[in-house]
Amino acid sequence: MRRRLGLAAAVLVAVVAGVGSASALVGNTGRETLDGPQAVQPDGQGASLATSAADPGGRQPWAVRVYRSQAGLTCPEAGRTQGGDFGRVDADGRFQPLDIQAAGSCADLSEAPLSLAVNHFPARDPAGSGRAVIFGVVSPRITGLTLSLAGGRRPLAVNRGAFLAVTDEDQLQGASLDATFADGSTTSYPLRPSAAPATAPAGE
Amino acid sequence: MPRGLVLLALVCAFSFGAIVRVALADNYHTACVGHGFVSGASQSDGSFFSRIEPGCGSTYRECSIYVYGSYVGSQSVGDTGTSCNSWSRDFGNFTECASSARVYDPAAFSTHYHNAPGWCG
Repeated sequence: MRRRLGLAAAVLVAVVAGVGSASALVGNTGRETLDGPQAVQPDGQGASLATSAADPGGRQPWAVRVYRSQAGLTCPEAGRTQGGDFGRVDADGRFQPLDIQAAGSCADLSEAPLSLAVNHFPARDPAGSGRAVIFGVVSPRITGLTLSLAGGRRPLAVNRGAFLAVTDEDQLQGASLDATFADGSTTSYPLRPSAAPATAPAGE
Repeated sequence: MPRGLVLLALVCAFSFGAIVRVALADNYHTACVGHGFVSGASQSDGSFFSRIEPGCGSTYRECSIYVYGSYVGSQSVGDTGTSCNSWSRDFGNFTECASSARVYDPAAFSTHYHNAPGWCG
């Protein structure tokens, strides 16, 4: 009897020690789930609306707001604007303001020449094309941008360091954003339609 | 008490702890770069992210959001230094616990899905 009690106590102590040791080894992953990496967390100093573009469907304009992260990165975020506010437009056309959260596509512009992101919105009508919102910020090293879409090439304006273009998703086939640098060199950044399937595989 | 038995118990306990801990952290992990499903201020407010950090020489990445298994939107990035960061609020109001992040970064890992913590999908 004493031997069984001793064994049970030893196993219990071992379980606690094992959980503690394993937790110490994998420690930080849970914290990131709640807080997000510092790289994208806003620094609390607010955000500025940098540029806007008309909506091809005639609804509220699109816009890019930019905040700085706690790690000092530059973080553009694409959305809609109405009356100077930044937000989202729902299917019924109503504008929903959005608070500043860790939602930017952040980059360190002291190292990277730009931040470039595309938000992909699926088509509401199965027969239609989805919407692609191409946006980002550039460092002073970039002097010009050209957007090459399936329908042709055009210069892309940079306002207060940010750029924005709204197009149909199918225009991204073979598309690119071409950056011209102060030294005259160019770099082409490929753009692609979303490859995400309409439904996740069963069990995911 | 046999020393071998105690050692075996310790090994089993450690494995149990590791499995439990990693399972709880499985919504966001690091495979060359950090990626996965990230909750906002809480795990039930409908504000969450599909995210892939930059690094490992990756260029093209796509972070997508699924709700009850259906695609609702995504973000792609095309350079080495930008965080892929798709926010649920950009696409609508969704049930967080039924949501998943699909992450695509061929330079760092194979495409896979991360479910929300407290999965209810």
